[in-house]
Amino acid sequence: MTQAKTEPKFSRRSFIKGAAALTATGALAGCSPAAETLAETGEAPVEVPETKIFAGACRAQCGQGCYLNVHVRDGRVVRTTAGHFDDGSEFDRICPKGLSQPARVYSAERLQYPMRRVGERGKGEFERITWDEAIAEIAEKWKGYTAEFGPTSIAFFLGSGNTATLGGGAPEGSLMARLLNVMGASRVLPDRDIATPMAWAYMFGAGPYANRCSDSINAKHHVIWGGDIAVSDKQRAHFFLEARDAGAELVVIDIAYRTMASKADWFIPVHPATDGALALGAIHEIFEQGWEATDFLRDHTEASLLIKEDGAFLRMSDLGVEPTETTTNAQGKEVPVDPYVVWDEETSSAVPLAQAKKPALGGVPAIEGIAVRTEMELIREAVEPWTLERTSEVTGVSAEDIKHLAHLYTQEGDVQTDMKFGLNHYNNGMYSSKCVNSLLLVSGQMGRSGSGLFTGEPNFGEGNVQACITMPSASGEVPQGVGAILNWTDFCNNIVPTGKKLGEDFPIKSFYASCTNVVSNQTDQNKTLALMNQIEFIVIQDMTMNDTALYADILLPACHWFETADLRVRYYTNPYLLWNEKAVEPLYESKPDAEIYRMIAEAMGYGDFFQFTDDEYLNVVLSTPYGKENGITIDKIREKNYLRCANDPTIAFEGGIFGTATGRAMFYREAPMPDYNMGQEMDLEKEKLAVFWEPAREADLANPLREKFPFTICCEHMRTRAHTQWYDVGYLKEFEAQPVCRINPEDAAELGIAEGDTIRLYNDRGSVTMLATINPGQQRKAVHCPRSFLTREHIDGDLARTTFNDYNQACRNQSYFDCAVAIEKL
Amino acid sequence: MTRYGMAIDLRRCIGCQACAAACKVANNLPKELKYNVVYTKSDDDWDTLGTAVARGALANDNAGGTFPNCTMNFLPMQCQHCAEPACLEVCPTGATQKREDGIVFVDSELCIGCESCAKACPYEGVRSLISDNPEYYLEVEVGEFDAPPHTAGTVEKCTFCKNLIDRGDVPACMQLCPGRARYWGDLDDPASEVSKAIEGRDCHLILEAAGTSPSVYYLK
Repeated sequence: MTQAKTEPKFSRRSFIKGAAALTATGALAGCSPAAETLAETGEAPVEVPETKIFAGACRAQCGQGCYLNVHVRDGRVVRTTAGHFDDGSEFDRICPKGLSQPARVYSAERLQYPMRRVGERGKGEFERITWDEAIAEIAEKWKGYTAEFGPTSIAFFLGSGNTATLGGGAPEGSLMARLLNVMGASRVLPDRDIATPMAWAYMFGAGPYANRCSDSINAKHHVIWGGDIAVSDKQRAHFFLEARDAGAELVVIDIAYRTMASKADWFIPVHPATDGALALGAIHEIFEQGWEATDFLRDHTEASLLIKEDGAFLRMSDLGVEPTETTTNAQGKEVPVDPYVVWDEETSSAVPLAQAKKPALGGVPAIEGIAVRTEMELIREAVEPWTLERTSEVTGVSAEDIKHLAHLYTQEGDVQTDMKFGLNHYNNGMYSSKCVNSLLLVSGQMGRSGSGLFTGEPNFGEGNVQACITMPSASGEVPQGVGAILNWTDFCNNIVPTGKKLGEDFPIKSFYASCTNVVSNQTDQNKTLALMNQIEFIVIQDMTMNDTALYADILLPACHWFETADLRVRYYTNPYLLWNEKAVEPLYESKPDAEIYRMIAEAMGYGDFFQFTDDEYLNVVLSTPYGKENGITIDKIREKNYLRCANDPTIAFEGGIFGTATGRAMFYREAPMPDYNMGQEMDLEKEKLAVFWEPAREADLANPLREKFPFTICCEHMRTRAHTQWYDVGYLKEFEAQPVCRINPEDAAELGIAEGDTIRLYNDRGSVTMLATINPGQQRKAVHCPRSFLTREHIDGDLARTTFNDYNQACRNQSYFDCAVAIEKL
Repeated sequence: MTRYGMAIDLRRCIGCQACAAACKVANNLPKELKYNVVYTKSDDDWDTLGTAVARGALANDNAGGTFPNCTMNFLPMQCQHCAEPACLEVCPTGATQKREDGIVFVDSELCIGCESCAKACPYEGVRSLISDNPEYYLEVEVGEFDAPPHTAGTVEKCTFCKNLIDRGDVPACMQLCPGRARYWGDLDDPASEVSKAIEGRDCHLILEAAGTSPSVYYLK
């Protein structure tokens, strides 16, 4: 849909409707006089140059996924405005990033032609080469590595800097993912943002986990727990503000007084990474007062399941009843059904869960001589130490506020809880998230309108990824599949440096990343840089000369998003599939990402696997059960360039029916497994009960390390960047000009630091130098620094050099905020 | 008669800077020129501006008070398009003009850059004198084809995007506010969005005592 936009009297919407008729009269011809200007001013008519509006999908990984109007005049992108959906305006969106897209298109940082490194890695010294030379060199090296070391010696990093389906590096069925599978290369997982979503999966089963945005108005209380929505998820802020203006109470639990706290009716300040303890303190108080939602716990959770002294569930086979039925497990295998046993209070007998009329939540006698306790009893025991006093000491939250929170969740009506990644970004993110989930269950605040989680907007999902990846070649050959899946930290700390994975030889010769700035966005940057220097052949494909591009051996210039057509499927806070029209020609010698993947495939001898048109491929992506049922094709999406999907319910887990095998929410896992294996030592007892909590590693105020490194850094989101993207946009430096460290006034005074002083933040891993800004919104000993600046934008060092890249024992998660430093004034 | 005005809901503004960014690009503003600045305020005094990176502060979004008893507000600020503009009479060349629809603008062809308007205006920082050689972020021209010309030695300020209004569009800052804080339209039309937004709300007119009758209503 391309519309000329010249007629003065029409709003865009009515204009589009009337466009056909107007075109017939010639009123929309390229240049026409602006009649109204003449009428009003008496001046001569102004020549109005034709401006064409193209549909644009902003597709950075900020989670918002805005539909944009891309204004093109004389073949140039001159402006962007918010696109309007004709089926409701609640998802109309744009932000300073979307608004400054022209500056990304015409950025001086754009990579203009393929390049080969000539100087030291990281110095940015390159020579210009042709596309033919670049692709031939990649193919020659990769074929050689494949022959000598196998295809797994080539590692693809699938990043998320372009969430388009054809061009994007993100794993969901992109052409890059297909290329990886065709080649049988290794895939390196970024391992970001894993803990909180996995905590939902472990306790609630399969999602969607959140009520849709349209339900947010129905909550009586909104609790935003660990995230400044106005900055990190800004297009959802209006839902909270509308609910508040309609009478809902807005509660914000955060480590600093930030934007959403400033909008809140009640701000609960909490020490960094102690949110789980706060939840446990609230649960303790709920139990003290007898406020727990007993019926909900009995009917909609597994709180009544019985656990033997060995930690396993009591099952019917324990009582001599062998399984007779089977079921298909998640791996597609037929497994016997050995039902859980509960104690039925109605019949005072042990029965399979499904047959119980009133499962007991406690006080169950030994069954056939087997001593058992309910999940509920384990929970009560585990929260016993979390008295108001202890909780207050750990979290810094007053006893009064903890009591108030317990009261709010159980005695004051519907509470909707927002959880994003504030808790996730610590080494204890899994535990804190599970404790908050437990509070929701103990309070019965799930599975109803106005309650539950509000985290975004489930949408079409990921498309038919399997079909995209496994689709045979034109001659019927099946892709060999991913060669190996490697966790980032294992890759960085072990596999590349030692050439071994779990003791077995595992040579890595080449690294390929597209649409992602690995160096800036992974933690412990000094380790990342050491890694980059150890890899023989690095291929980086991107739009700009970011920190990762500086380390490339071959640099491939990708075009801007508006210089090619693509489909945006994946999004979390927006229910639309968006079609991005090609608005302008690729600048310089840059090419669409998808075309580059195809060129590499062809040169590698895999061209046969890419004998389809873009549309054919996209229709495979769209061929999910929902897509087929609703006749969703790329042509259908292109009718309006957007298509709203309603494949998920408004209310998640409505009626308390969870996505687990029992349909009940789970507090206990009898055989937890880590989600990665790099030979780590583990105490899996910690992973069993949902109310287990331990402090974060460095954010923990009680860690003796804090004597040497007294400050926690929260490496915060920026308003004007999506990770490091938009670093090259001057307009946005009017809002966030340089890295700053926001520090509490008393902390600053103790260190002799005044506004604008140059300070150094350091620990044993590295350091960063930036300017200090005094912010009374910070709590003591916890500073906030923006995490999206490139190394060269810092006075010295890089914020990412202070963080660690270790994972929690069972959860493969980058801990961006779990970082202690000392601060000195320079 | 049409009398254009704006309402900005201070309870809804989240300081996201979208309105300021929209203004910069649509008007092809050079680096030094800001028609629209969103200030961070560490208090509740709506007659003072607060701080902004765009005005030399190190950072936006710093609170006031003592943790955790803090205050933070956001104040989007541009020319108030006063009904009784102080800048009008003092202009020696007639460059500063007020249209019948209430829009106050500076005709760059008549402006001699004397800054009489800036001195007379009670609102600090809403206009700028264009330097001899204004620099731009981009080598290419962006924004609307009829964006203001940014002539060296003239004074510029928010035009209410009269170029856009005159062809049936809305001011750039009004095109979409993420917090849904901004309303625009005809103050004389009770059915307009801006009139409906103001209706029944506690409104603040900045520096009302200066007597200029601003057309931007801040909803508290």
